[in-house]
Amino acid sequence: MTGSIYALVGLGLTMTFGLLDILNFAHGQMLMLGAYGTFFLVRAGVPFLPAMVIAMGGVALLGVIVERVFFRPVRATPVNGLIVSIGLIAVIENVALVAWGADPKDIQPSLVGAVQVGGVSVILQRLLVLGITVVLIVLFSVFLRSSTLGKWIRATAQNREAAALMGIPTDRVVSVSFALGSALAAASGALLATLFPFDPFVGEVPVLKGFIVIILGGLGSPAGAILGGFALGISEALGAGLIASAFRDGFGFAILILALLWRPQGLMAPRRSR
Amino acid sequence: MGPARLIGAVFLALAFLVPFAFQFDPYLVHLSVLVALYALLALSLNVIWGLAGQFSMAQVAFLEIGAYTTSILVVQAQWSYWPALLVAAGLAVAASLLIGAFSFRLTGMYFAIVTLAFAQLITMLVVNLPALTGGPYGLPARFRPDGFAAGPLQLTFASAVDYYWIAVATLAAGLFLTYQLAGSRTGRAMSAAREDELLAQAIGVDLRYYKTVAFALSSVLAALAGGYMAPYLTFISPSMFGFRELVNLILMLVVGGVGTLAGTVVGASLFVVLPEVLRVAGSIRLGVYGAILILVVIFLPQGLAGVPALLWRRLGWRRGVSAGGGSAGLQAAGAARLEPTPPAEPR
Amino acid sequence: MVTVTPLLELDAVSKRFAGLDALQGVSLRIDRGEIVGLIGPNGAGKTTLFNVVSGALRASGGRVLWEGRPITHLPMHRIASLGLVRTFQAVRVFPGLSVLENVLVACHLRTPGSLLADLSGAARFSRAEREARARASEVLHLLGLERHAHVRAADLSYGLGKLVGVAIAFAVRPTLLMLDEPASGLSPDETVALATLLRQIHATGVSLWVVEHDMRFLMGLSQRVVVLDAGRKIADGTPEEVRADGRTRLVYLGAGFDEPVPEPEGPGE
Repeated sequence: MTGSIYALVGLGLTMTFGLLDILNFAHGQMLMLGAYGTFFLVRAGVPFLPAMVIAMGGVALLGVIVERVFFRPVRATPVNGLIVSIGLIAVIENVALVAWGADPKDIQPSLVGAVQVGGVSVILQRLLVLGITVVLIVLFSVFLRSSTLGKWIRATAQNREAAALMGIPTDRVVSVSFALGSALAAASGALLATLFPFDPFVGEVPVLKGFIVIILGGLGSPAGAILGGFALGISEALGAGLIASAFRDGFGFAILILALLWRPQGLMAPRRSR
Repeated sequence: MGPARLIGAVFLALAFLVPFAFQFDPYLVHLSVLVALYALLALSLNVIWGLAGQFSMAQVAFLEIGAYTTSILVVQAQWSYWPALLVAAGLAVAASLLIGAFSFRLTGMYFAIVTLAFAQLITMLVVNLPALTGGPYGLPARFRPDGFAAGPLQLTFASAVDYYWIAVATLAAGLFLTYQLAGSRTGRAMSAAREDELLAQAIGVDLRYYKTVAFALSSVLAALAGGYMAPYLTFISPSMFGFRELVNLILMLVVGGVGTLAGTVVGASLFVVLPEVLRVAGSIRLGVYGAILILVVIFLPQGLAGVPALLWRRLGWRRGVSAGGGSAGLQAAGAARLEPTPPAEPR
Repeated sequence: MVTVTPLLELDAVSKRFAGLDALQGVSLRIDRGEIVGLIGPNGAGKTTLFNVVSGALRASGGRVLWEGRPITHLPMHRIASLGLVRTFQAVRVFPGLSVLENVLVACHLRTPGSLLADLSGAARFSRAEREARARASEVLHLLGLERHAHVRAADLSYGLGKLVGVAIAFAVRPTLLMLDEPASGLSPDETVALATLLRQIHATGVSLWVVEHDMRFLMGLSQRVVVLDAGRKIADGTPEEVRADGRTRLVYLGAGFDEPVPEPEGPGE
């Protein structure tokens, strides 16, 4: 189940990396903001799902602003983009810390209790989260594949110049893509929040996992991100069960290393022309 | 000697007089030690990033390896200091070779992520092996490097000044080596790798080899800094090597000027002294640093060391060579360009 | 009769991308001292062929032999160090370095050296260093770049940039220099100067393999011409033979083939 969240995060990251060649570390912050946004809305009485959607929207908007203001000027030099994103993490985290304090918060799960599935006790909320993420992933994939905008995004990701020559408004596509990526991150955050308590630092680890996921799946490939996400989630769970669970996070890295050794372009790297 | 070299040499000579200038005021000496140590760390990043063009987030991890290995060997295994330091450096090199082995054939972005993953891994190891490392609560490092005599100086490491001497000496050596390296055959190959990997390959540069060398060298510098840091601060803990440190380090180098030797020192000085002078509230310091980082990267990517060259150009004088006013040999790469050239076909 | 081992030999080289056979069974040879041209319509696979031979792309089939020995799957830098160096269609230089430094990088590669010597600074005073610097001056002089020695490569004009690209490749002391559209984007005057330069380079013992669209330039320079179309070799002979060849004329639709009319430079492949 964690795999599905990883997939979500990975998808979001692919959106930004695939297009902008920017490793946006601040992606994790979008996740965090999504969690907080949903939290406040829920506290104000809005039911979970709509709250999540609104939070997604808000974060998407923020994503557009971030892209316009911060990433666009450094588009020429990907490393600078990376550094900018690191700076952003610092700033956003700090703001969140000051605004909301470091004490953990959580969102009440919509489903309480557990159910027995083949001898294993499964928490219902986790199933719900899994369900929602799957729905989101499916929706997103369909969108990418069939809608005009989705096609534009894919075209721009493959070859920006050619896309521009064909009349696709690449700049706007990039902004939209960033927005979508951020929205996905926000969703991940909101969902995560129903399962675990969160604080301003919650974004850090998932982002790293997200990067592992997209490397596994091949940078720039949405399908790969999905596969990678699930692969990571499952292997982590297995590993944690078999060996010490303290090293659960370490599995991600081990897998990363293995993957890089074996198949450097990832499971499903798309063909990219420059 | 060219003007830049002369300035550099003079500066280094002056560096040794600093404690005298400060009349051995303990506070100022303490700051100097920190500057020297951070400059060493910044130099480490500069070698792999400014010279060879590979952005790495592992330097803090190497710092951590240096600090912890030295401390563990001395405190737990009763080793004497200098051999322990040597082993720590060796361990860092081994780690860098390992990382390089499987990530250098990929594009720079992959490498950056792998270095980050590595850093996380190290911290995870430290936190989860408390018997060895004291876990999240840290490890007291209340030992003293074995004293020795160096010329007229008798170093006992009983006071901060002695740490300053050793740190500055190492820094000076590091700066010197880097300067020589940059102007040498190896250094030029690294510069080529930084500027255009495909072109470099087309003329015969073995990218993997040169990147590995740069990374290994950089790991040694960072590990040494860590090895000095542990006994100096008498206490180390995983929280000292986390995200904050990373931001700090990047900030130092970017603001000082990536790819320039002057930048290493300027950046380190700035970000050791500034917080002390401004007493910025700790809780928003990280955010402020992040903001500065963003602004500098967007508006002044060559950092402070690039300012002279910038002015040079603005005033319309002779079309500048590679910018970098105070640099000596290292080319100011701006913030090194990581062209995400897809590895067209995996070889 | 003694058969001389060709410098470069391609044996049924093919390259396939997903769904596209970019190269199909291309065989040819280049002997020491030759100047060979490579022409073909846009999309024929000329740059792809260069990429495969130089190691930038992996061949899907066939072999590439250098001085009789297979180099088919060697990494690019290994092939370059064997003496097979290529330039690029677009201006490709080391942007942040000065022109002199650009060339120095290349010169340095051929000199022996050790890491230790480099670090300690002993290398600075070595004979190898002096030789490298001497060669760099030589190259700059030959290409007429001395005036620009200290200009940042990124600030160079297009024509000068291309020239520096050639300088870098030449400085490595190649045995065979592969030039990908060296004249593209150059004015007629610059083109003529380039032709002269290439002949001078050839005179120093470097064999040349040149891809070009500018017919007059290429035909005047080459001793032999290979024609590529849709990934296959369709002609191989002296410029006169190739000009007379029926298939070639068909493929080229007479673009500047018969008449010596200077044509505007088209975009590269």
